[in-house]
Amino acid sequence: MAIYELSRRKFLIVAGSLAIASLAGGNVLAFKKAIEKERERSKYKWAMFVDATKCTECVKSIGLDKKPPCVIACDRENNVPEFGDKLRDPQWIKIIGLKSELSGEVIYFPLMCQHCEHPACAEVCLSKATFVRPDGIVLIDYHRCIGCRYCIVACPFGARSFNWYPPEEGLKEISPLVQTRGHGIVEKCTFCVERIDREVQRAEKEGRKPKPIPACVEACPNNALVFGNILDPDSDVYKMVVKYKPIRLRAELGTNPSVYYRL
Amino acid sequence: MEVEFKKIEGTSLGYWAFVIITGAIAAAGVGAWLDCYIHGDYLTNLNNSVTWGLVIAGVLLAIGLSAGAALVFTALDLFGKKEFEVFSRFGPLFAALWIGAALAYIFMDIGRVDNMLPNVIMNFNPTSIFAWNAFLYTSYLAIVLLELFVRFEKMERLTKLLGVLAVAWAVAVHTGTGLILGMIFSRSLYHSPLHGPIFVASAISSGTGLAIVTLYLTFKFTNRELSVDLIRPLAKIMGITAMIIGYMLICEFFTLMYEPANWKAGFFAYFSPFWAFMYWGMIFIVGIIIPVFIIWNPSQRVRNSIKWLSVAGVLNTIGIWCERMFVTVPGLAFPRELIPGYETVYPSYLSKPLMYFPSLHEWLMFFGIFAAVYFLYALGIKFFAILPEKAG
Repeated sequence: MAIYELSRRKFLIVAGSLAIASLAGGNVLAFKKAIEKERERSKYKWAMFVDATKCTECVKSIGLDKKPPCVIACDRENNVPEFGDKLRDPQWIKIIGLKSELSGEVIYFPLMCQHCEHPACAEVCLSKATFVRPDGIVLIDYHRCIGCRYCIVACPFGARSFNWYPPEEGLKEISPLVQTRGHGIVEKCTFCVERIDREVQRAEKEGRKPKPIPACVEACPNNALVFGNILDPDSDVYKMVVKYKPIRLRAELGTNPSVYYRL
Repeated sequence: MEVEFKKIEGTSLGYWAFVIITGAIAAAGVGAWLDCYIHGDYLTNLNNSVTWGLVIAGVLLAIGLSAGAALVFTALDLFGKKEFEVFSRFGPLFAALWIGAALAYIFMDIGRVDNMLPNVIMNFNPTSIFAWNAFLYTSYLAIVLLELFVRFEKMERLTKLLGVLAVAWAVAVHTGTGLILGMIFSRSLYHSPLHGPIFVASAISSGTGLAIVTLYLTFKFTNRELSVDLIRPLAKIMGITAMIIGYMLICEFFTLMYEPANWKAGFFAYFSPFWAFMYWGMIFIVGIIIPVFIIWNPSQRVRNSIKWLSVAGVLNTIGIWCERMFVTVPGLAFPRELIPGYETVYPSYLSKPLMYFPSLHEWLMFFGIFAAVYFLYALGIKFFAILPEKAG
């Protein structure tokens, strides 16, 4: 009898924990499904095409000691501070130089947030400060970010920066159109989400297709950057991606980035 | 036989000197943190590549010390090892102090404590192992404090129940902590499921190791009696788990190095001068081989000396601390390969592995919390009856 009672109790404990675990697991799945559904409903998925052949020419002609126009425009538009401490300065766009191991040729291109479909950063974020919008843009809620920097550790590209310094001390002028940040939190490229939202609102009112242009795309003198809605087969970005069959960085990880590079 | 727990007197000059010195170091640590919090975290030597360093290693170490102490002392009690009842209050106290230390390290490391408290609770992210850990750490602290309380009240059945819970939680807490690093799939030096079990083993090993030293010094300086018959089994637990850590690290080493894509990162972690010194020298020789040689020394005089076993405990704890640094830093310091077949040449700081050495602020925070634990411990054994006058 005693044995029977003991095993029943054990059974209840095990069954109870399994029930709780499956509830929690079910919730996670339901939560993911809700996001997927919302994403399917969205008419937009913003993506960028980068023609690195043009970027390489541009960077070489300007010189590595100066910032190219895309970076200058981004910094000004998004209130990205500068302290002359490259390892710690927030950088929404970094110029990266890669040398071919075969030919020794160096290619340059801008590296920004790749706005992954399954971002590692949002997956690891403790407080859901990083999240993916239905239109594919990965954003940070600066009031939720606790500054643990786990997302920087997880990001496969190094696209994120922590505010090691109080950012207001590194800004010469402040653009009123984009939110400023405080020290102790993480920031990164938003695809100029404020511009996108303004343009989408305006276009939907006027009954036309929105054509938002992020600051870096606008500033590029060589049309090396192409931005648009990749779900729309008429969009330039869709056409470029189909035509040039560009690569995506670290695609093997399965995060499904939204930035395409033509090497 | 009923164990009689007794407060220490704590009136000697030495005692107060110890309290004042540890208190001062702890205060300096809090000062260093406040400086970082108010002026910016540039005061650390961390940057956007090496974003985690000494203080995060402190989190990992402290959680280990806590989980280890809870696991060993509570498990020994649950298995009915009556002779260890003398440590039945020390175990949970040690565990509570170190999990408190781990939480303090987390508070010190994160950029915005003010954002932390509401958001981690209100916006719990089920896909984040770190978020689950935040829940595990706090509930674990509550469990060990409750366990300590029921041990004082001598509630037998509750003690057993909480003991089982504490052991289960300690395993979960440590597996979860290891997987904070192990789940990071974008860095080959991080991505290993063995991080979970390695962390559990490191916890048991270092938790027991530091407990041995702490017990030895406490009994010595309060003129109490501590028998080596109680310390030797603890040291053996430490030695066996240390060997298990070594075994798992070697498995990880061979698996990682088998993949050609990992050779560059692997050579940096295992064979570049500084990290080779940390890995082979500090973890294997100092943390594992020398302690094992002391514990199973051919000479009776060594293996049956509490002093030598304490030395083994210290060395093992230092080795595990180096292991914490080793799992945290090289994975971040080594640059990513964005496109296979292309080597990053610009910017220069992303083209080669970075050096990281903690700044004064980080050392102060690290040792500040360490000192705070012993500050509270010294006060704890004065105001509460934690240890018996004679053990063993």
